[in-house]
Amino acid sequence: MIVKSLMEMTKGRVREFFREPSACIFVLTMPLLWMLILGFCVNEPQERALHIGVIQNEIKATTNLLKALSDPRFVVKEASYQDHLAAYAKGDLDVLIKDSNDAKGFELFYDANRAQAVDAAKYLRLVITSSLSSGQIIFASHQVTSQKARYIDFLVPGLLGLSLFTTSIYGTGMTIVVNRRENLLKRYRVTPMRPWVYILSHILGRLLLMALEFVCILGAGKLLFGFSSVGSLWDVYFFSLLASASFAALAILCGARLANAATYNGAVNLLCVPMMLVSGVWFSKAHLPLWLASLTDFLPLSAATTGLRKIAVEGVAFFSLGSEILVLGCYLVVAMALSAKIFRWS
Amino acid sequence: MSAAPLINEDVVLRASKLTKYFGTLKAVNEVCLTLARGECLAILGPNGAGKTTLCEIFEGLVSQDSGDLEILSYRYQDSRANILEKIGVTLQETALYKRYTVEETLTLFASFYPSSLPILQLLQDLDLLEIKDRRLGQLSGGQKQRVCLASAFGHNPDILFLDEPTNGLDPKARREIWALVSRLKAMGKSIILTTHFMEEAERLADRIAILDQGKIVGLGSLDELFTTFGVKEYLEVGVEGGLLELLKKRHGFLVDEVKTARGYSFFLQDASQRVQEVVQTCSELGGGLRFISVKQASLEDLFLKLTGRSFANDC
Repeated sequence: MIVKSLMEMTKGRVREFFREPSACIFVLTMPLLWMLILGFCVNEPQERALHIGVIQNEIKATTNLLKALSDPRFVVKEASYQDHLAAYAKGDLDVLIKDSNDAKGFELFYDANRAQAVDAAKYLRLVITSSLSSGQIIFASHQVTSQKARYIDFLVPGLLGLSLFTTSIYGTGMTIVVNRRENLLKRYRVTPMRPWVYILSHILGRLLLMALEFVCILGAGKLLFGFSSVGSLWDVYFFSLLASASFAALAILCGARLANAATYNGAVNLLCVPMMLVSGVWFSKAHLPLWLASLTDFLPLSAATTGLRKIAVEGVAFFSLGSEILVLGCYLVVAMALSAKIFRWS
Repeated sequence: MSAAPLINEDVVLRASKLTKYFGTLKAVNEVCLTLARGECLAILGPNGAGKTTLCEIFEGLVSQDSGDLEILSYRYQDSRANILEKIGVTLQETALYKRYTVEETLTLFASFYPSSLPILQLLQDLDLLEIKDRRLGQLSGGQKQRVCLASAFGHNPDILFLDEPTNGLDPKARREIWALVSRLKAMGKSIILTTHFMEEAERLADRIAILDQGKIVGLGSLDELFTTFGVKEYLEVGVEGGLLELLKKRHGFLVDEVKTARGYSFFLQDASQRVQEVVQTCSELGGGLRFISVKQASLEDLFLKLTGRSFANDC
């Protein structure tokens, strides 16, 4: 009986989605719209500081170089070549620079296909030449071959995370609130159906619908902009499943007591809109103040977008995503436990 | 009023001194009721009388503050699932999913129960076969209510709780629902029906419980109620000046008059036999009688007598 009712309820969730034209349009067109607008029009964020990665040199001190980079337009980070390369792939850096070991010069690493990176490299040459005016300085340029340096490659996983988040919060949560207002929850309560079956059906329904969002967003990214994941698509999928389950649990918690759709919308907007802005959906969190960027690591949407990018952009495997899995897992468990405690059927 | 034990009948629901407060408001006040197998009991009362709260206590949606409730020998506190498997419920103003078809809705509800009637049979039994593929959003109020009833009946429950099943329906749809409820009753189902329609209670119920301000003020079959409360017939008189007071002094049976639109009513068991006496007294007192008539008391009259308020004004 439990399996039968869970199946029917889950089937119902999917049915509701496909028979609600506004839900379909919202879920399928919104991320695509974002992708088109940002992918074609914005391309690169303008007028921001140039993020320069100084590669630590085991032989020569980088003191002079760092002094030369004290220009206010530069945000400088010092790290190993490997660490910088990973950050570059994510779009957190524009140019990497290294003191040459054997000559009086520098080695630059950047993606010549990125306008921002090319501009940054040019400016960097100018600044260094003018500040270290001791003879001729030789610059050796190297192409960083990561395709993921394109903005669209950064954007697509972010949009996938955002889509999973909004469809849960505004879809699942709102459905519960409306069901409560229309006495349907009360009607279920007078049947032997276990309450957790209703809750679980929402999560399972979301997971099924997630597959559609997954295909649409990644498919559109591939067709329109040639996006492809560096990491395994299965890993992206499994991580999306976890993110969706976590978001659905949060949506259930948000809708656990309210019976008024307008109140729900207001409350959710208050919580979610700021979260969307600081979670690195559209732009790298590297541009946020450090304290804020650290705080956002604990936000579910931030954990989802970071995790998705780690797989899709950096090629990290699913099980290597420690902190992101932990954050989303915690939200899933805590939200479910709280919902079970405070959920109102009428 | 205490529940009279039903002798030689199978009691499926027994409520004893059920009380429920909402803040300081006593929504249900020491209600005692029994429901026999195959019986239809109407809980009649105006809006705000406590019908829905009482019904929700029976359905396990609201728990009583005090008193005891036993349904099919189970109590919600320890056998909630057992009770819910054996009862069927239609709630007041429930919107089922409007984008589901009739058949999908019934299949969904059937899945909640360990066993249920075949959907095809259910559709046939409740005259829903022709509209089985239509979505609920496209149905009339009466058709939607039939689907609600079918969803409550699909698992073949022993008891049906129908909370104002015809509320908001047009007269034709209301009659269709009455026919359906009568059919369910004929199948041997025990039914508790809340309503504020007198005609509905009169037509469908074996017994009627009149609820006012959370309290049962009358309980029994229609005949029993009329007899118990002396409201078989009533004498309505229209008089001028102070004649009414003189008549009341002369005739001890003229007490507890109720003001009506035309004059005054006196509920009497033998009103028709008293007409002559009253007419004669009026002549002796010098006239002033505008009219006098005897009428069969209705359920509404009974309500008026029991609560001192007109039922129609409250609804």
